[in-house]
Amino acid sequence: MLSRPARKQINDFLQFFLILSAAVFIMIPIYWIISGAFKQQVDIFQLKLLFTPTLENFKIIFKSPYNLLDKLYNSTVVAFSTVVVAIPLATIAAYSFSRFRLTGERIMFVMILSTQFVPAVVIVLPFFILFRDLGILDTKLSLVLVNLSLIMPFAIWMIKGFIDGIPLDTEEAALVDGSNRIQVIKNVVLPMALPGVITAAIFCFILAWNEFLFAVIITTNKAVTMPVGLSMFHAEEGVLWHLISAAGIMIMLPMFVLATLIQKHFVQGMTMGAVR
Amino acid sequence: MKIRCFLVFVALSFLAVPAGAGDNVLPYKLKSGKPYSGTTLNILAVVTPQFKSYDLRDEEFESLTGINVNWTHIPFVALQEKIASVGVAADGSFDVVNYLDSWGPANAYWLEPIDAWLKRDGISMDRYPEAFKKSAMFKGETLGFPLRAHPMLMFYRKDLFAKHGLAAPKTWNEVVRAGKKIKQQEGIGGLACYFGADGNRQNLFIWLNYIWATGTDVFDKQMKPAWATPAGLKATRDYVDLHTKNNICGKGAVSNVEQDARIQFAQGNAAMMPVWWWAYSGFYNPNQSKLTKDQVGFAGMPSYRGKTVTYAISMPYSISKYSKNKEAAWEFMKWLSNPELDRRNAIERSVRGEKIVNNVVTHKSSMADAEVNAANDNIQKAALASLANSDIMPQIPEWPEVGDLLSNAIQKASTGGNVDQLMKEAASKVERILRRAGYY
Amino acid sequence: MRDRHLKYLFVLPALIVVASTAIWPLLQSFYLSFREWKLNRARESKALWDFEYDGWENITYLFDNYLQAVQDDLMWNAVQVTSIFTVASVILSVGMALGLALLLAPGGKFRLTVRTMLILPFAMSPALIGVSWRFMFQPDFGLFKAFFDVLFPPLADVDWLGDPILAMIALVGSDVWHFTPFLTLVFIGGLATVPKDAQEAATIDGATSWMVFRDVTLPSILPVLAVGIVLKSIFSLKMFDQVYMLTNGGPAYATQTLAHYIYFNGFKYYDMGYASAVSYMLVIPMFGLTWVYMKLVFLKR
Repeated sequence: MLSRPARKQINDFLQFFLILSAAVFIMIPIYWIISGAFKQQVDIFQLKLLFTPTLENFKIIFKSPYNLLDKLYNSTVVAFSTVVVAIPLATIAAYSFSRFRLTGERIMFVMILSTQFVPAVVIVLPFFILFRDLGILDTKLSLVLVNLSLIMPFAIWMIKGFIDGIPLDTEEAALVDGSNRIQVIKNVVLPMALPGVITAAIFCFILAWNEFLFAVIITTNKAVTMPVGLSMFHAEEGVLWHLISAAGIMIMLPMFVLATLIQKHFVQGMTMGAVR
Repeated sequence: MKIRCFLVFVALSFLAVPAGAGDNVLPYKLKSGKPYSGTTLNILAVVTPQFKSYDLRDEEFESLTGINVNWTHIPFVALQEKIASVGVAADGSFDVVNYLDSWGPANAYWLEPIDAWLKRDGISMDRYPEAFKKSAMFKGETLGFPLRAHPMLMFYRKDLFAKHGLAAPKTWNEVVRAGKKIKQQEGIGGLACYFGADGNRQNLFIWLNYIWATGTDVFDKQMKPAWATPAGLKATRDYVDLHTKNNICGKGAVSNVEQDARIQFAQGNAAMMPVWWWAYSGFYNPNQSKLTKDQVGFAGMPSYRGKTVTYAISMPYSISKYSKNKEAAWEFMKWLSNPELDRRNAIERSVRGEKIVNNVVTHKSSMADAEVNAANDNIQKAALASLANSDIMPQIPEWPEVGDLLSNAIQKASTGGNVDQLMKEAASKVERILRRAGYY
Repeated sequence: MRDRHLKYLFVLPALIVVASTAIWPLLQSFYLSFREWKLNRARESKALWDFEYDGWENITYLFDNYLQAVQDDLMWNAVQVTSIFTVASVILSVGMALGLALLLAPGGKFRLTVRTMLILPFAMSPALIGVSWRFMFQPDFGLFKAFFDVLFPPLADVDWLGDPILAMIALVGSDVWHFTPFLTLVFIGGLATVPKDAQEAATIDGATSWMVFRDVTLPSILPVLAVGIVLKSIFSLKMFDQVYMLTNGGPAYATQTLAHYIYFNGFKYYDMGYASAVSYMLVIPMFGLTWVYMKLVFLKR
């Protein structure tokens, strides 16, 4: 029989090992993509671990005909606007679904999610015709509308899941102390649900950011987004891997920075749960 | 500098027009007097260096006619969807569209036939090889011009063939013999195969060579599937056997699509590849390939059972029925398809300071042109020979669905499936689809 | 109490947004599933059944798209592929994500660094994932070839995407890689709401870590877990992007999911009415799934 500290040590090592292998599994394809971005075109078809890195690919993607900066801007505006509209609305709705009994709540709730049951292919053209009639084809507004339809239901569902997990007693204590609902949400629920809300926001941001099918049909020149820009690298001569991975880094980098900043909130949220 | 270049072009193009054509007559049979001046045309075209260069050169047209041209270049991966949405929109947002010939019949109802204009301006479609001409037609009407079109050639490694005392293969049997020898002695694929069903029916390209050589066609006169005859099945078996029995293919033969196979050849992992002529420059471009120009040879497509019938493909340009500027669009089409532009585009390697490498021409005259051939290692001559007896995929609106059934049957066969059974199954499924569509 | 009105006021804006952006096109496509809309024939859809002409006895014409769908082997093949894919990818990704979340929840520098990495796979566009995984399976110079060259040479020459079973494994692998890290983040977010003192109290009372997990942790993250499962299932049932870029449904339909089948019938074969009808068949398992979720979560209160 092993002593307690020894068991703990083995346990710790095992955990460390598992986490490390997960991290390696996650990072190998990422390394593959990152290394592609710094390779010359001629090197991408060989599995070289060592190569002369080049920044040329990053220069190319921001020049004509790719002009990824415009697309980056469009994508940022579209994804950001979508999240800014969706998350606050979804949060209060989710709170209400989680904490109150509403007449017809199940029907409402199922209905909200059921909008996501049908593949995008069959609603692209109805949307397209609608936007043509409204005269907003090839605008960022039309993309925001489409993205709202894609993410709003998920946002409500996810945030409700997080709020469901928060114990009721703190809230009740605050209500007894004379706070009103709005104050309770602001001061008690939101801080505790923040990691969840942020996770949902990231989820929605990424979905909106990566949306391809609608963007390719609805936009032509002015509102072209990153994913449509990425498809430009599927050239006649094949996939321009060196460029597509350079563009891929331009997508990952902001997310990575965002996630690093947000880590703080995750930790914060947890301590609040503990202190209470 | 740019302007000077441009002026030289204009001057050159005027020179190219037959002298004594009249006082105020414009080249390329364009209408004189700029009747559509101020019109803006929107063009939807696929991304390719050839059209990029037309985009760069359109100032000539703009100054001759006063018409503005606005290009939108869409990558091939998204083109079919985009074209469909342009047809559904029906708002004339694009005046001229560029598409793959296989999608032509499906979109024909909103493409404007150009026969009347052709007749009026005395332009004959006979300036194109027969297969190209056919690729822009549907139900006897001409829908547009085949401005990007390809014959197939057999590319091979000159150095390896010389090393092993082999000559460029003239028959598929020779391909197999050479392939076996090279695979055995060099340890690389003999042939870069692409049996993958990719949704663009690429694995039917070579299959059609086999099928047509036996005198069989995809459909008979009643539009019934015709490939399941004994001769057709034998041809299909021989095609699939390249991989399953003769084992001459490079790695990944079953999952490879044309692009993968091209990389395989360019990276020196296979010694032969039957593919479009435009791939030539990529095969020796040091950015994409390990090969040098003197390693890459090309020949006509090999024969099967003593006969060569090759497959050709094109990407025509047509005028949209919903266009509000059809006459102006026709003027543009005339300029865009003029033989001089076609020719020049395969000779000049720089357009307004941008490097453009393109060997694609579609006029018979350009293919026979000495200067064009001199600039492109005589690939156009080989192309003309390849096109002498060539055909295109069936031009019916249902072809994408029908062709995909065939394409998947062949991919399955290449995994070792029963060829006869798979092709017969495909035939009965196709018959059902065509019956539903009202063919019989 | 003022809450009585407030609670409806809270859901109203969200409902309006959902209704105005999502419901209308859905109804539109439902309507189209009962019509012929062949983009290779005409721009506009037309009725499949006309009372004046066909009369009540031919009302089945109305369901032509649906009837055609149930008679198509390829549709059933796609149903089978989608089921296998969904079960495999949901179990693997949710299971691994839960394990990883528990491992990573305690915090500390190492764990926080790994957590930051978790966002990367999900941030990649699915199309890019498909392309990069296709590269990795490339039998001439792919990563897997290099791997097996060293570890297990007989596998080095395998044409992964040319084999029906291996192609499915590749597809599930790429999807698990894409979703597991994000689900881990979601579950970590859920774990953050678990009352720490309850966990500690249980531990002091002598409960094993399994008992703490079962009795304290699991019940309080159940809602988040359920959301994770439902969301992942919906995404798996609608799996399209990676199929399109990685296997394109091949070899020979072996990895053709319903979403891919629908896409091809709609945009490649120009039959939008038919594609809509097949889409609405996808709705059935989704409702089943949602029902299970409601049982799990709504009854709890």
